Parts: sequence; structure tokens; C-alpha cells
Amino acid sequence: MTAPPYPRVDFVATPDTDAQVLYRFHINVGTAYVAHDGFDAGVPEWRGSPRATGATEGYRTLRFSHLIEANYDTAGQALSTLARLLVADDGWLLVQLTEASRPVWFRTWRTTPGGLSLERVRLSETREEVDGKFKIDMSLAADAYAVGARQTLATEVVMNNDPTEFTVFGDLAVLGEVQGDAPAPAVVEVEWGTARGNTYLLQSMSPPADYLSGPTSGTFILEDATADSTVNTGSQVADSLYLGGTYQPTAFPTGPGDVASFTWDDLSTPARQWFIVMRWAPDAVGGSIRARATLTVGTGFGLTGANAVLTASLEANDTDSSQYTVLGVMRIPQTGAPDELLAGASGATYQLAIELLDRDLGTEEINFDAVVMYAWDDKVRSLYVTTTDSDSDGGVPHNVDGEYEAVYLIDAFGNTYPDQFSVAGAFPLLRPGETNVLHLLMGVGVPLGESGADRGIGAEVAVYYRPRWLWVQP
Amino acid sequence: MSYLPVRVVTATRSRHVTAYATGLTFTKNAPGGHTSARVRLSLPLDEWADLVTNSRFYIYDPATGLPLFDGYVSNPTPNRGGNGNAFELSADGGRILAADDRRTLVYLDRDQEGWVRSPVATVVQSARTEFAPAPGADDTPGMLLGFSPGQPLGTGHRAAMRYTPLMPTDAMEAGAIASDYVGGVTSADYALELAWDGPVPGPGSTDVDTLSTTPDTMEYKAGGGTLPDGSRKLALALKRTGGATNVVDDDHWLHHANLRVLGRRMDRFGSLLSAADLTTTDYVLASWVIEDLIGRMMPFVDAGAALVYPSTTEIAQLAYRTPVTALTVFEALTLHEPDMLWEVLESVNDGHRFNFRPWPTEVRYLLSYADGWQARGTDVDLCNRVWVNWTDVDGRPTAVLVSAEVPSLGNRVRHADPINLPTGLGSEANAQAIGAEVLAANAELAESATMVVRRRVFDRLTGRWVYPYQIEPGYLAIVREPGTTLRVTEVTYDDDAQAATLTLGQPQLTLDQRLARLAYVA
Repeated sequence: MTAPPYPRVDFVATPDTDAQVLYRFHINVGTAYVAHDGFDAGVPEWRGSPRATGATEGYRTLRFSHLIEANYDTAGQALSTLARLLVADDGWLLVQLTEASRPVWFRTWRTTPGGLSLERVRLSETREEVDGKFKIDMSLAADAYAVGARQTLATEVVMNNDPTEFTVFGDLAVLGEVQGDAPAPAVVEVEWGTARGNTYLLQSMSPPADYLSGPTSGTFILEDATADSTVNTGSQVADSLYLGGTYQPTAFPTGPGDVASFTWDDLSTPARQWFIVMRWAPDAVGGSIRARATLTVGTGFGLTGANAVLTASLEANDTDSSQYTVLGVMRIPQTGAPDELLAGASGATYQLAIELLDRDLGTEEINFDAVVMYAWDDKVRSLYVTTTDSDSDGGVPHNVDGEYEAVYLIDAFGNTYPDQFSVAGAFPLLRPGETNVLHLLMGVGVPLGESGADRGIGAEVAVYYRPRWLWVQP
Repeated sequence: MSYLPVRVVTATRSRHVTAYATGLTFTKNAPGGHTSARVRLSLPLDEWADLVTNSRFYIYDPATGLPLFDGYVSNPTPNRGGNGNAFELSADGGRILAADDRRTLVYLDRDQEGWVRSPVATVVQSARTEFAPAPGADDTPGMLLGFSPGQPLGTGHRAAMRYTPLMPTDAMEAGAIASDYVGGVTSADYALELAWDGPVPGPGSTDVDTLSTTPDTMEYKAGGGTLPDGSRKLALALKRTGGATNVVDDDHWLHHANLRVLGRRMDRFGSLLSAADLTTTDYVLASWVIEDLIGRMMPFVDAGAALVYPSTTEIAQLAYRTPVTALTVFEALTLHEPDMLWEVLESVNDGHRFNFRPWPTEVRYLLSYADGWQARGTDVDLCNRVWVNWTDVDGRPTAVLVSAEVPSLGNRVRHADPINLPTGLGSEANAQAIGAEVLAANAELAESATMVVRRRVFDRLTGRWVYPYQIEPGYLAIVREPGTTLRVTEVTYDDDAQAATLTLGQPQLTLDQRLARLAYVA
């Protein structure tokens, strides 16, 4: 085939620059001449009322007139090829304005095809010449956004399971600039470098700039709580495996009803929403350990004057090592003002309290480590991945594929294994024009294997995506 | 595709199907928890052959990754046809599991229905074994055991009745039996006998007391309170302990009033309670019953994480002599505790999260007329008279006319539908109380409304502005303009409309709820 004239409008097999071309709407081959006219990419259907939250975009309709000027055989062949593509369930339509432009692909879906107009067709007696044009009104239903070529956003980014390592942001990875117009699903390859447990939390977020300006603006680690308990909380014990190098041993002597509480007074953090997790470990006393953590913010702040409360249940066996328990999202200090009005505001001083309520029979012991607060906004997407992958020392990356909403690994023979993963939550999204951050936390919330949420665990992460464009790219 | 992530888990695969989901809705209730969900999944049917009833179905909050709805596919409804392959899938929330198991549950039974005459040979032919008031002036109802004049008796002859509902093996084992008893004559030749049998202890009996005209009480409990553990049959007898004789006078009777049988409850971990933990035989509390149901019939609940707040209403009668589901018991308990709610929520470590908690007194959600307030009127039916009917302990139909002053009716006399008091609740005091309540309620308008929330609303519990799909039932909402505080009893989220429909209201007590709160008579 000769080099196509631009703009290019082709049906292709896959959304890749070197993909097989299935049908070219604008070529001039021999006596055949096919063309497109009046290309209109349409716009996605915006659903819901303008102020609606949680809306999704519907489909868009691509329209243009397709003209075929050729002899009978060539025209017939072209019509048949095109008709088969239109009758198929789906397809990819490549649109590229100039040779230097970025190609975009529209994912098209089977829909009522446009009609064929024979008004200007005059076939000669021999059927070898044609006088006029076959005109087809193309009308293609397509996904809301066009996608661009696959981009590599990051490779070999080291992420530690340790929020205290601020030099490389510890458990956070700041990603480069994301192209496109609309949020795009990310494909994240997570390659664990060392032995690990079986559940991790992968979050994508787009925090404001001040979040990353210093280690204490976006992540707070609360250590050294004041323990005030009816149960034995003992003294702090030094242990380098714990955040801040210490933990608070806490023994529940009898069972359900034993309560241990920890408070932090005079806390001051920027006023915003916080994603709050607790780090703890079972001690080798007793069998399974189950407790309920309740986190409260001190009274008298903000609009309500009431306690804000988060609760979560803890569970582990004494053979497990430390784990993170997600307590939830809370605004601190409390206020009724919208997020936007709070940007940059400093928070009032407040008290935070954690209460651990034993909920199992028998004597148990917990090593309470710390509470970690991550800055949060509503653009965060959280995914919990639980795996039975036994290849614990890495080597084969886990593909967290937001495009296909699946997590899988691919072995050396190219076989894909999605069965080894159980996935809860929402797949990560990358937002163009904003700072994109990945957050990876190992050992979250469920009984673990032996390696749990150790600080020493690390992963190498690679991030790919296809930009999402509203219109074609010049 | 839906905005909220959707996941389906079958026996062989776990799969996010957000891209194929349309028409997603889910409903949560208080009481109840996660109730139902619907979605259309446009997927090739043969690609998912093992999508069946009982496959798991999750809807997630994209931000936190935690389940907004966690349930079980109730009907995958595969569709083929001109419009393409799709599953019109419906799912039930975790609470549907409370309808799986059926057991015979006797928490506290004061009713005579469970008692029958003992078929054993030592019960003499003319022995009196029935429920009747004690002979004499006293009208106290109860079990009457006796021998008629002229009856020849040998040692060990009895007048006896036995309690049968606990006999099926799926039933609770006997937990306690108690009564206030008195005899027609004082004689050391007759005894009040308590007998038991069952798979574990085997047959046995004890003589509780000798026959006496001095009233006394008995209370035997399993778990160390002298009633053997594992008993499934109980019998009460008036037994001849002396030598052979002919009964002469018409005073050889024994009367058990306030007769109670309790099943032996469990704690939430499935351990049977000891006699000390079976605190009283006079009543049961809803919270005790809930703990038992968790341990006995609800293995799908994370027992350790379950929150069960103590309730206060003393329930005088709660017995199911034919097998029932836990769901049936929950519904009965809400009659007794209309200010508490139960909920089966998402699954956590060991099963579903379960709460039995009071309705909060603090407002959680701030709403406004902007959210489309639509008050639902109730029919006001003004009445100033009502007949209350019951059958008294001697089997006589009795009725009392209760009247009330309703100014807007003026001189008009208007009767409400008559009320029939159930067995055991018939008394003059109860009739007056329920009659007055019903007349007063008919003159009131219950405040209730539906609202459609399409924007973020402020959540005082977490201090955040939450999305409509994050609103949880079982909390209070204040509607700012009228300043009305109402319970959120149902939330239905529609993903296509991005709107949550809230049912708000403090519904009036039903007649059944009012009856459940009356004092038990017999």
C-alpha cells in the first residue's frame, strides 16, 4: 500500500501505530479512489445533571461521508470489506490529522450502519467503469474518549513499605506528567523484591502541591501515645522493625471487654481529609488476636462539636508479623466547609484517641506501633489485591491492569494467570494536568503470611497508560 | 459502564465487571443492612457458565476501595435474544443468610400450648392435668394437677404434664424451668416432682417439694443450677410418695402459676450459658436473644466483630415451637425494641459485620429541601371509641369499650376497628392502655418523607461531605429548613441517575408493636 494521504481515517486491528490496517477510508490505489468527507468526531454523551456526582460519560457518535469511486469490482470489494467491519461487534478507528500528529484511536461498537446512496452511480455496460461515487453515510458508536498510543510513565520506581522513609517518599511514588484530556486507567506492574505477605493496597491519588513539599505536610506518623488503660500497656519497647523504632506492648488479660486506649494531645495538622491507618503486630501470646479499633477526634472542634468516629476490626495470628489496618477517612479538624475553602488552612489543635477493644476469648497481646495519616481527597482510588502467588521473592511482576480491570501475572512462557488474585475496590486512574502519586502499602487488613507489613519489603513499580483524548490531536 | 466498581466472584473466578455494568442500583435498610441490588451485565453468557445463585456480588466505593454493597447473586437471569447476551442480575445482601437456617427456638415460654398430659403408665386415668385457675377464690391461671376423690393411688402414681417443644434435636436444649406453686392440702405423702430426659442426661427426676398449702417458688436451671445439661423433655408431676391409699377429699391438687420454660441460650461464640449467665427466668432481653442467634444460627457473622448493645425491654414471651429463621426472630424483636436496629453489613475478616444497636440520638446527615423533600402523608382516621376484646383465663370472652376525647369530632361518636388482645395479654389494664394508645395515634400524623439526594451532603460522623452512594441508613438526618430530624430507614442508590433515594421517617408503631409492649398476664 502506498503512504496514506492525511488526515488518516482507518479501521485497524489494534490501537497501536504498527497495527494491521483493515480498511482505509482515504486511499487512491489504481483506479480505486475512496475518501472521507466532513469528518465529525462528535462528543461524548454527558449523563446526569450538570452538578451530578459520580457521573459516567456515555458513547459518542462519529459521522462522516465515505465516498468510493472505483470500478465495479474494486468498489464491490471495498463495500464488502467495510460492511464486515461494521457488522462486527467492535473495532478500532484510527484518526491522525498529519504525519506529525499524535494518532488517536476510537473504540467503536456495533451500531446501526449508515445507508448507501447510489444516486450518483452510473455503471457502464461492461461494469468496468464507474461514473460517479458510492456514498455511505458513516455513523459509528464509539467510547467516550479516544485513546492515544501506550505511554510509559515510570519504570523501576522503588517503593518501600515504610512511610518513614521520606527521602524517596517511602511508600509513595510521584509520577511524571500525564498526557491526555480525561483520567486514564493505569497499568501498574508491581514487582516485589523480597518476600512479602498476601494483601496489598494500591492507591492512585492527585494531591495538591503542598502535599509533596515536605515530609510532614502530607503524611503524619503518630508515635508515643499516652497510654491510659485498664489493661497492661507496659513501657515502650525499642525494636527497629517498628516505625519510629519502638512499639507499645498491650496485653488483654481476660478477653472481650478489655480496653486499651492511646491518645495524642495537641496535634496540629493541615485541615483536610485524612486517610488513617494503624500499624500493629500480634505478639506471640495467645492464638488469634482480634480487636476493634475506634478512633475519635476530640470534642469541641469545627461545626459539630461531636466526636468523629472511625472503627475497624483487627485480626491476626501470633505467627503473623505487623500489619496495617485501615481505619478510614476523616476530616480533621471537623468542619462543614467544602474542601475547596479549606485549601491551605491550618488546622486547630486537637486530640486524637485510639481505643482497642479486645473481642476474643483468652489472654492476648498486641504490639501497638503507630497511626499513620495520609492526606486524602475524593480523587483517590483504592484497590486491595490479595494474591496466592507463591513466587514470594518477586521476579514475575503483578500486572494491575486498569484497562481490563484485572490483576494477573505473566510467566516466562507468556501464560496469563488472573486466578491467583482476588481484587477489591477500584483500579487506579491517572489524571492529566495534575500531580499523580501512587501509594503502595503491603500487609493490609487481613491475616497475613509470615512476612506481613515488614518495613524491609520493597517493590519496583512500572506504570503504563493510554492517554484519553476528547478530540483528535493536531 | 457504571461509575461504581462492580465485582462478581464465582466458584472459579473473581472478576471486575464495571465496564459491562448498566442500570446498577442497590438498597440498604435499617433495620436490615444490605438488602438488594440489581445490575445488567452485557457479557457473553458462555463466557461465564458458573455464574449462579450464591455467587458473590460486590459494589465498591472507588475512593476507599471498601464495599458499599456486599451480597449474593439471587438470580443471574441470563438473557439471549435480539438485544444481545446479558445477565439481568439481582443480588441479595448478606441479611438473606439469616433466612437460611430454621430451628425450634424457645427463649421464654409461658404459654400452655407446649404442655401435654404425660403418656407414662404411672399417670392414673382420672388424674387432672390441665390449665385452669387454682381452685378457690383465686383466679390465677396456671397448670392444675390433681387427683379426684375416690381415686385409689399406689406409691409413684402421678398426675403429670410434660413440655414437648424442646424434643426435636434441632431445638434449643432446656435451659430453665420455674414456677410459683401451691397445693390444696399439706401432706408429706405427695411431692412436686420435676422430671427430665434427653439425649445427653438420660431420664431422671427430683422431688422439688412436698405438697403444701404454703405458696412457694421453684427455679431449676441448666449449666449448674441442678437441671441436667442436655435435657430435651421436661415434666411436672404431683406424685404419691406415701403408701397405697384412696383419695378422700377434693383438695389433692397442685397448681403452678407463672410457669416459665426457657431454652438454654448460647453466647455469640456458640458456648452454652451457665446457670449464672441465665440471669433471670422472668424475661429475656432482645440483646440476649441476638447473642444466641449469632452463636446458634448465624455462622456467616463475624461473631468477634459483631456489636450487640444491651437492650432494656423485658420480653415476657418469645417462643417458636415450630422451626423459624433468625430473620423471623429479628422481625419479632423489632416489635419489642422499635428504637433499636439490626443490620448485616459487608463481610470483614471472619464473616459479615453485624450490629444490633440503638438508633443514634445525634444527627449524622445534613439535608435540605434542595434534595427534593416529598412528605408522605398517612391517613388520619379520627376516632373516639374502640372496643378491645380478649378471652379471660377461664375462657370467657371479655370486652371493654375505651373512649377518648377528640375535640374535632365534636359530639360524633366514631369507633375504630376493634382490637383483639392475643392469648396471654388479656387484662383490663392492657385493654385500657392499648385502646388509649390507638385512639391517640389515630389523631396524629406521622412525619415521613422521601428525598432524592443528587449532591454531596455533610456527614457529621466523619466530618466529611459524602457522596450520595456513601449515605448509610440507620442514622439520623436533619432537614434544615423545617429543622426536622428523621431516621434514615432506607437508601436506594441508582448509578444511572447518580442519585440516592432516602426514605426518612419515624414511623408510627404498628398495632403489633404496641401489643408486644403490653404486660404479660399468663
